[in-house]
Amino acid sequence: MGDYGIRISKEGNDVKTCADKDCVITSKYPTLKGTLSGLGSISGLASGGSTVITINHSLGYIPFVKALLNPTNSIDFGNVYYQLPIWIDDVEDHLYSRVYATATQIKIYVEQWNAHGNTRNYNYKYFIFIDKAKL
Amino acid sequence: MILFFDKRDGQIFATIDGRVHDEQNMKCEIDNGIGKENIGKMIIGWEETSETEEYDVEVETLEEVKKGLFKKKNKTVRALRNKKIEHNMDKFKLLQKFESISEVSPLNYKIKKGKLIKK
Repeated sequence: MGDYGIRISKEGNDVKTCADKDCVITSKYPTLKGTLSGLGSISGLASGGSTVITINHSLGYIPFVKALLNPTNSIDFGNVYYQLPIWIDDVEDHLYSRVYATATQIKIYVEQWNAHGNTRNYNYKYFIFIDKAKL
Repeated sequence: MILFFDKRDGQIFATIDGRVHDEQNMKCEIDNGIGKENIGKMIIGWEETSETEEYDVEVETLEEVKKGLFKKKNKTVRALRNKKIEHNMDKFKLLQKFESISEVSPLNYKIKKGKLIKK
């Protein structure tokens, strides 16, 4: 009875015989059901300071989450998105950030320090998958 | 899309993606530490309610014309869907730009008196 389910093959592949990797979807593996996603910004985070962004999802279970952080005005760390958690240091700059989840919220924590005492700006992108993280 | 902004200066600081927002989405809040009383919310798109409504939908059916022989036939049937409330549909074109891979980001906008203004 285990040999049932659905599969949809990529164009040009026979759905009856092709490998799983040539499928757009196969019920052989669990799939992510959808996401609650968005973006945000953090402005003027002081050197030596930290901040926490709270996203209340109210799902009632700990979801699988992913978040990315972009230091937009840091020459040393570049204008790129880092996947969290991240801890990067060089002689004059320090950035630490992590994302964590509970059954009702996800929190993005960011702290920074730099030798020049400059404030920093960040953009972040988050994805809360509507799937339990099996925790 | 749900936009969260600072009521004091109109600055958009966070978003929730999507065009149709169910009750779960609508309950979602983002707090950047400025205090709940300073956070405004604008929805662009549809709010899906738990209330349902019937609507007509055209479906393709097979009609047996004689034993073992079928003919395609279009038929209108009643179906159920969740009722949706429209929000700020006049800003829908801008929402499409926010969703595209262009450099147009809601974080570069402010909300003043219900209007989206580029910074």
